[in-house]
Amino acid sequence: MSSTIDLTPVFLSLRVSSIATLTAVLLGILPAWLLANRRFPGRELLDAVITLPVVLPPSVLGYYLLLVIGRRGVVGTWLEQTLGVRLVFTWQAAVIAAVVAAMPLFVRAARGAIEQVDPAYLGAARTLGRSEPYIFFRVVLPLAWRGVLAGVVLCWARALGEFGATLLVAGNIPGRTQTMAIAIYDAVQAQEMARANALVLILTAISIVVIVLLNRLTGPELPGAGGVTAGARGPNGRRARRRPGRNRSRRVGDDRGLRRDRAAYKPARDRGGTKEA
Amino acid sequence: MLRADFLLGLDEFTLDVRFSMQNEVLALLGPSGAGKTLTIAAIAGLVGPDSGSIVFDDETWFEAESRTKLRPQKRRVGIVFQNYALFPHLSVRANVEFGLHRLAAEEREVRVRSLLSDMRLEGLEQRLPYELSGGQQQRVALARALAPRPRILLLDEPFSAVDATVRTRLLRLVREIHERYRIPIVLITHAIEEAYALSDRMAVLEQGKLLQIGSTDDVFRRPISHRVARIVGTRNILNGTVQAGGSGSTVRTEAGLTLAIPADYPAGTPVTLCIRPSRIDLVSASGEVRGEKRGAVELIPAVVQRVQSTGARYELLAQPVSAGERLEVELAADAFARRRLEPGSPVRIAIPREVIHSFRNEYPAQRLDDARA
Repeated sequence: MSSTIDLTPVFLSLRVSSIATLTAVLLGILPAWLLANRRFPGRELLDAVITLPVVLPPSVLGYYLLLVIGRRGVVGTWLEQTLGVRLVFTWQAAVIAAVVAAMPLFVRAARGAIEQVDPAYLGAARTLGRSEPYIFFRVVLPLAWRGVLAGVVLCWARALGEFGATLLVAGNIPGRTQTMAIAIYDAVQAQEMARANALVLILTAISIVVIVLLNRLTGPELPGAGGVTAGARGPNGRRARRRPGRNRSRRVGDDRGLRRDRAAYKPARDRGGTKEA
Repeated sequence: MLRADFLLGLDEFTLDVRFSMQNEVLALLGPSGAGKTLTIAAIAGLVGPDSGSIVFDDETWFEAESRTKLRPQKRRVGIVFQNYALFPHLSVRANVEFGLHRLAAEEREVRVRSLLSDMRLEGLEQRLPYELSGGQQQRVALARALAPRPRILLLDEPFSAVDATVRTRLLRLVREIHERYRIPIVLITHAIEEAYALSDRMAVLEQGKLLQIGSTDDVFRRPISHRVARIVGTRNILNGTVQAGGSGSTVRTEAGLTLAIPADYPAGTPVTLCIRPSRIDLVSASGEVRGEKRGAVELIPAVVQRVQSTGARYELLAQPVSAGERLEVELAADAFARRRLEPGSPVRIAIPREVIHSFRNEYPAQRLDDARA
């Protein structure tokens, strides 16, 4: 491999995906919590809108983005006229593409982790007079952090590899908008196999690290790797060691549906170990 | 005073309760799946009923009509969940302090100290919940719930997960809490002994319906239906038909006992009789019995079938000689010793007439077996 390989795409990709992930987390955590815990009008719609980018082909997503932030797009026109800012074909546009494409992965993972938190904890915290934001940061997040962090990693990995939408809104400008994924495409097109190989190796290595990280976060916990949680009694009155945010006893709250808060207190016929009085 | 009168639907399940309580211990008794937990969750404001109202003193906590729903944060309800729901990542101290954010630091310190000492948790402040025994976790949960001085305490099966000796101590603790803090306590349980030991009044729930509510003693002694009798563990339940009405009816039971009962029903009424084992005596096969002449005692010739000791008491099974249901009898140890009974002893079952409780049988005769099953 030649030592003259330009590593700018690597740094650009890292910058774009990290900023995009941070943005996605800030934007996505509230929807994740709402979807996990609340019933409200438009809930299904919110869920669908957030999930849509996962299903849409990236090029279609990019096209929609152009309709919004393009020079003739709704927001794009306004930005250019009032602030003199042009978004398309900038690295910021690549960030926007990455946010839209990768945020669903974060929201889904975070929502799943939040749903796993036994509603009894929330109930206890509420009766103790604490506000919802306090409960979120003091109870929900500490118990769900592994799943939430797994969502962050997934989101970041997806943002790092974003190609289709990025190409459409940010283009392929070496040194400015040429991210790693696009640089690989560019290198192959130009028959520069050494450049392609180097970038592919870097992306593969990053992906392997991501997988290891995800397994650590979602697999069985290593001893001492985190707080072991309540030795609360399982359904059969036996002590069950549990850890935060994972494998939470399904005694309450195994209904992921709209009526989760109610379902949590639903009388369970199959609750073991309770003798008939 | 708490007044709850609401309906709450959940899939095929409907909870329909109506009760009020003063400053007392109210036991919610019922089999699992009766809706007990849902009831206290509604009182705490963790779930919203579909209709009706929940009022505490002069404060409306829930009213469907005016769309009033006071947030749980504002109700000042103390709740102890069945699995305690101690925050697993917070120390004992942090758990107890969780609801004390409105207190000044010194005041909070005083409150925490006194609670920890009341609940005998000194020295455990820095432990995490999983490092505690079941009984300790229970007391932390109580301390946490009591810390912000709740106006009512709700306990969900507080004793289900601890062993018998711990249970006895916790029973006393709950009684002490009631006397000390002078707040009403709703106690969910499916264990009759707990309800009996702790509660002033008792509400019996089954399948979302409130079957009976009354003083604990009354519900135990005088269940109003088969379902209640089964839930409160009534023994000696006899089904029969009223032979002759009038003042004091005569009932012929299914197995052929004829008993005069204190209540009045028209002839032909299907009734059920409940006779508490501890109110039945076994007397010698011959000789006069006090109250016999006045007709105040039913005497049934019988044979002792089984004798079982529970320590202070003896439980016997007596089979009437001619026809009739076998009856469970409970004798104090000394009474048992004086009577020198053993399996096969010929005796007479003596039932004071006034102890025969009766209610109109709610099941049609042919469905009785289904109902019992």
